[in-house]
Amino acid sequence: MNAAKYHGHHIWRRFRRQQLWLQLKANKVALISSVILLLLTVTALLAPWLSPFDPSVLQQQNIMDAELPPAWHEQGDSRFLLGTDGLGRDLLSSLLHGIRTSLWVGFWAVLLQLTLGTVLGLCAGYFGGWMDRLVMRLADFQLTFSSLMLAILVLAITRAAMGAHDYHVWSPWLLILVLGLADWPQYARTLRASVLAEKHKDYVAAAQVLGYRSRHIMVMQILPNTLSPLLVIATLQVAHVILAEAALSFLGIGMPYGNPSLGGMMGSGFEYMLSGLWWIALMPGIALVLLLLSINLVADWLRDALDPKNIGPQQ
Amino acid sequence: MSLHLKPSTRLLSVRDLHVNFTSRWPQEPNIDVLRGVSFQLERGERLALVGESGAGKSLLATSIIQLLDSSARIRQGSVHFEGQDLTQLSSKQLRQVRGRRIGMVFQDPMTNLNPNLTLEQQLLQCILSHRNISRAEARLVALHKLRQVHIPAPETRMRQYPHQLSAGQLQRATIAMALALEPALIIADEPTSALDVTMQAEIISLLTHLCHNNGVALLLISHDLSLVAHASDRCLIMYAGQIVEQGHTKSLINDAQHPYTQSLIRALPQMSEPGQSLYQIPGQMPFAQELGNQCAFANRCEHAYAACWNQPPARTVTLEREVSCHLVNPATAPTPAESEP
Amino acid sequence: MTQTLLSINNLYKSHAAPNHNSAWWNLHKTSYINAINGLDISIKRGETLCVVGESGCGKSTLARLVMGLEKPDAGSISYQGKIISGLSDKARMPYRRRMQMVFQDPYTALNPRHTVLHALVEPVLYHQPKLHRQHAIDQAMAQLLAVGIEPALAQRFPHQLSGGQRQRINIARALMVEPEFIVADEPLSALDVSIQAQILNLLAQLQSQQQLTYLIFSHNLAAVEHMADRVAVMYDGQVCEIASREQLFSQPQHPYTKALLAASPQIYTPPNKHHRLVGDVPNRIPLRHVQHGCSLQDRCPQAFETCRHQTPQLTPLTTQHAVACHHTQPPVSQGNSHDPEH
Repeated sequence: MNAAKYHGHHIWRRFRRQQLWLQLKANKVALISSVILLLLTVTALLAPWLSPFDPSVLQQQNIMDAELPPAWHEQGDSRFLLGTDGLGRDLLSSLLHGIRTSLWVGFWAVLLQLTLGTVLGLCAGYFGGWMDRLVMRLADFQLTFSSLMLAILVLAITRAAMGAHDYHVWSPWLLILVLGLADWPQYARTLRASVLAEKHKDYVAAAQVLGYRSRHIMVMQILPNTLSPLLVIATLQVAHVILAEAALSFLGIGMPYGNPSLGGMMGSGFEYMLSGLWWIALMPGIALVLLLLSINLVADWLRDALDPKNIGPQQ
Repeated sequence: MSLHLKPSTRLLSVRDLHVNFTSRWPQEPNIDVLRGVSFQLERGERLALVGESGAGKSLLATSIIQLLDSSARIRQGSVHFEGQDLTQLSSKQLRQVRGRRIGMVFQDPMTNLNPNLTLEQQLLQCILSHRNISRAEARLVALHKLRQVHIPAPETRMRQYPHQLSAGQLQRATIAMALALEPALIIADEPTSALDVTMQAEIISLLTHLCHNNGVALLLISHDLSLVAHASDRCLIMYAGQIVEQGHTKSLINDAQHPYTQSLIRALPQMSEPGQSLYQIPGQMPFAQELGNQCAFANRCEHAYAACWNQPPARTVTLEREVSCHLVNPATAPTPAESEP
Repeated sequence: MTQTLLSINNLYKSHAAPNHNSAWWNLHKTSYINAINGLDISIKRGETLCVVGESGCGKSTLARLVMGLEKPDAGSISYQGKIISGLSDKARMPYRRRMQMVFQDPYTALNPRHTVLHALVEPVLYHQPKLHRQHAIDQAMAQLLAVGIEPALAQRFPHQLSGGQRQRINIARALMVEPEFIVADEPLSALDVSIQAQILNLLAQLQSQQQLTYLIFSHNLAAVEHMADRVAVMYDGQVCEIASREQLFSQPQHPYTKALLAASPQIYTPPNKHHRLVGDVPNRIPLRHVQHGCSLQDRCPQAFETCRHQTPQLTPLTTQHAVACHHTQPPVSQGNSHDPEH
């Protein structure tokens, strides 16, 4: 649609005028955390090329190298910067691949949640009536289950039904699907509430008077004004999903063994914790904390920065 | 300090008040939004403060009672009320002044009252927190005040919640609450903007009569000169953070000296024949940061000449009238050649 | 020439009442408030009809009914002879662009996330998707100039504009689809007095340039006296007096009109206390307690026996002037219809 194209064009102009960049420069916390997030994302994307070893290739593993501490430690080996795990795999390579998996699962699962929750919440709030009642009762029903319990249940059953091999192939997608479908009511409820507040404002009446169809009013007029709470939930949910994936992998029903994830690594590292091999669990733990913290801080800043009222009185 | 010695009837004296806002944008400097406001208010006097939105009327009211936003700051000047400089008081001392000595009536009565408490609860809370009397006595005071503001059947009304009353009755109740502690001054900030025409006239006449009968001074803030024309003794005209003209309301309306006051009156729809185009003040009020060393009204003034762009006008004080305009000031008034357009 | 553009016939609309005063045990029983109560008005092409009344008299509901944002319970609204009040959204579409609305609060009427230019370009591109964007931008810029906004402000967001500028943008946006009929709901009440003059002049200038017809709702009688050709006074969802501007302001007949005129602040003449009404607008009265007689009876200082049990009908006094008040009509024996000739 032309209007959409025009809107996009305008956002690009705002970027070019460097408003966002100026605001980012003024906010040191946001600047640092976005640099960290950017670094983590880039290394995760480039993990196959950056990492010295491929954790899924068994030939590169040597049991003789197992349980080596980080390189700066006196018993360390310069080949393994962050040390190795109990099977002799390079911890740094596993970590890079693990971040990649976590971000991958987090991104797609949240996108799924966001889409589902937005569509349902927008329709419920805008149309009201039976649509509203149906969506909200569904949401109530969904909310009676703990999302993690649901995930454990579904994953455990499919694992038993599929058998280990098939499950390994499908488990990343299953994980995304389960985590994605579980948490939509949060978005739908928040969005519905803000839509109800927005739809009685005069600009919506003006849009109706100008003859716009409902879909255009919902998507082009109301949605942009209700996005900031959604954005906050979505970014918090990225962290939540990464954490849930870590927890599921820790429990052994998440990512398959050859496909390292931060949670899985922490889970296996946990067994060595008491024998003094602290780095196996600690390294993915630090990476997880860094990832979640930077996501949350960037989200916080983004919410303020995208509000047009913060552009300033005059340009 | 001479204020104390004179047996004066002076109640409030604001002197050279400068208030600025801390800018959210680090690259912008802090700019004075109130720029040297001075005026006096006698006991029992009804003073109107008229100006466009953005002129700083509400900011002046909140800086008098020291309830400024955290981003605003009194940079300079004093607010003497009953001999005390309110800018120097602690917050504990200020609480004694607010409510007890100065009552407030705001624009929207619905947001002024707590929707979860009945009128009685709110009135009693207000009276008991400031006066050491029993509940029963406080109740009598509350009833008396509600009768004073002409609320029908105050005994039943008192037990109701704000949403059960009409907007007019709510605004009466707010006035009753402002009067409950027998203050010396009531500040009414646009008390009728949220009300209907018939209710507006009634509330204004109620407010002015109550103040008059009880000897309470009134600071009535409005953007509508015709509304305050018959409800005030004296009038301040405010523009871009300054008082440009003050004087007795009657004489000010009949003989406005400042071009802004003149335009405000000329722009009223009843000032021109129906169907013909109205006089309109061109342009809009400048933002504080756009003002340089000039008269703030220069860009909209029909009579502006060289001096208006070069220096801010000084206050010209004549009998009962203060005007800040180069035209009125004999020292800077234009020569006939200059005033030719 | 004087062709009827819009006519409203015997219109009724009620809203579900908020259940503030009722006890919890009848919460499930919805009561209704009559917002519009058998209203008749017609508007001629090219004229300015001002509807005057206080809040709660049904002005905003009437504006929304005319614009098709709500559907009436009974009665009809017809535009150039065609009934438009019951149309579906799709069937109404051709009329949407011919009638536009200017809202009371210019700030909430603009989408806070859209720039001025976006707000003006969007309706054009929406209705003519094939139009080149630059054409639409040119049209928008021309419209901005027409309403007196500098082109430099086109990239601003609503919060960066002053109240007067926002209202100009609202007017400009309404004009972007080239309407012939403008409904304005309290277009001045959110503006400063000095800005009101600017907007009044702008509305008058646009009307003469583009042959617009105005239906303006206002409680500002000074502004109404300035701009109206005809004035209708509304009370409790009904028209209680309708007349040409000269007639209404020089010879008001209805006690409510007189009270409104007396209450309107005048700068040089002190307020007239003679025609004061008592009490409040009788709003929030649920339908279950149907009131008999004139709706003003409790506030009217001249109310007499007939007013208590008989509802006055809008009766023409002259061709230009009609009033619904028992005082201007001969007392009619009960049950008989009124004699239109007085």
